[in-house]
Amino acid sequence: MSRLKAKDTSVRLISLALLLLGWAGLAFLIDDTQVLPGPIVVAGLIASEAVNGPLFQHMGATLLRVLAAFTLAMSYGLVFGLVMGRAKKVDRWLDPWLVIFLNLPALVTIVLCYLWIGLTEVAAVLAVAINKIPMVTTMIREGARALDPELDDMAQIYRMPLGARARHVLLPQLSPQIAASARTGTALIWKIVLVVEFLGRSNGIGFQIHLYFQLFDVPMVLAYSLAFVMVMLLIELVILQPWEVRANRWRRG
Amino acid sequence: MISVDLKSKSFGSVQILGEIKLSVSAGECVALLGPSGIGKTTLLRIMSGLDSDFAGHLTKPNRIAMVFQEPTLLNWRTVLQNLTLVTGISTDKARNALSEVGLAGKEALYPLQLSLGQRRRLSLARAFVTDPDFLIMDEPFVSLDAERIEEMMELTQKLLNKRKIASLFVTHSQEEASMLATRIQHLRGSPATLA
Repeated sequence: MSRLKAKDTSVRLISLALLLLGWAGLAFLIDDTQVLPGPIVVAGLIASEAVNGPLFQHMGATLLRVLAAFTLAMSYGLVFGLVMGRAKKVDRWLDPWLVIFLNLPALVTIVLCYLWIGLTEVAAVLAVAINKIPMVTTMIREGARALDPELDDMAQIYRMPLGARARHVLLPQLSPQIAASARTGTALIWKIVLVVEFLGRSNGIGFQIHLYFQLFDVPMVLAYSLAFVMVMLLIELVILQPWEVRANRWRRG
Repeated sequence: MISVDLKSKSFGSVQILGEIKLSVSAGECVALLGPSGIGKTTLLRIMSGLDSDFAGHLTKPNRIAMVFQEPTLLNWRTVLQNLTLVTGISTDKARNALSEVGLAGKEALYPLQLSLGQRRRLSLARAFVTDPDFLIMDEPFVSLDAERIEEMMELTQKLLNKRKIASLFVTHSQEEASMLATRIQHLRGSPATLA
């Protein structure tokens, strides 16, 4: 098993190295750092912005927005998905709304939130959450539809308190859907957060990308974008993947 | 004493159960036999309080335990937690209960790491550990091989003998009924009634 894992890791590392090599090769051929800087140039810019520039300040602002929108989207999506998956009547009523919100372009929600609420932090976070809630709802609803009715009976017979039922019976059954929506959620949310910052915030990675876009500064756009990609990858590797492995430990029969 | 005075039970326009009067006293074990689809599990669900949508009257105690057709365990919690979290009993009492059904030393395992027979033992331990007044068993030995069935029946018999519980169990097997039950009832007809 560990040999397989080691092989898998080395394949991933080689694949990543090939991507970097391809990028470096293309940058060498273009030979213009203002059009496409190579990975070493971008890495240098990231280091310089981290040490002497405002990289961490903007990264912190973006991360806070991602966290707030993620918490909101997961909480509301979980409740809506659970209710819709368990109550057919509610599902029948709310399903058309869900379809509409699923197909509403992110840009429309962002612009409307800024127009209605103003260029505020609340509008920014709300716009991102509104974009993500329908997706979480859909995934959780599928999980809720597949809940084991015998476990409900068991919990009722043994008079499990409601809190214990939610924690030990309900949520573990939904853990695959929660994990999947959390992982796709973070990937989607941070991208929308950048758009929100691009359009109406005065800090964050999106704001910095906007700034350097106006200056036609490709290297800095790449430096800020890739710095944040690395942070999100780190979150995926350090938090989300280990959590998923831990949550699925019991499946190993 | 557990008693049901059922007038009828229907699913939509289809009447499944007719007039049924059944009571089980403390220390008595009633076996309910009948062909598949006759309504045995439906009657069981009514008597357990899981199904309250019927015409008639039910008298039952508060402390009820049930052994389901499938072990119906929390596969994501350990063997020990399956007793403590579900029933609210102490760890010590849970360990004793596991030992009583031959699962000592398996406390930290997850149910899917056990064999089917062991999972059924765990399900049995969960039912008995609550010291119920009324125990319901819905085909508790289904899909086990002959040797395991015999083991499980002996274990159930042993656990029942130690306690003065009113118990009702559904089975297809006359042999299982004869071994465990103090009284056998047959469900027959359409809508089904006790014969």
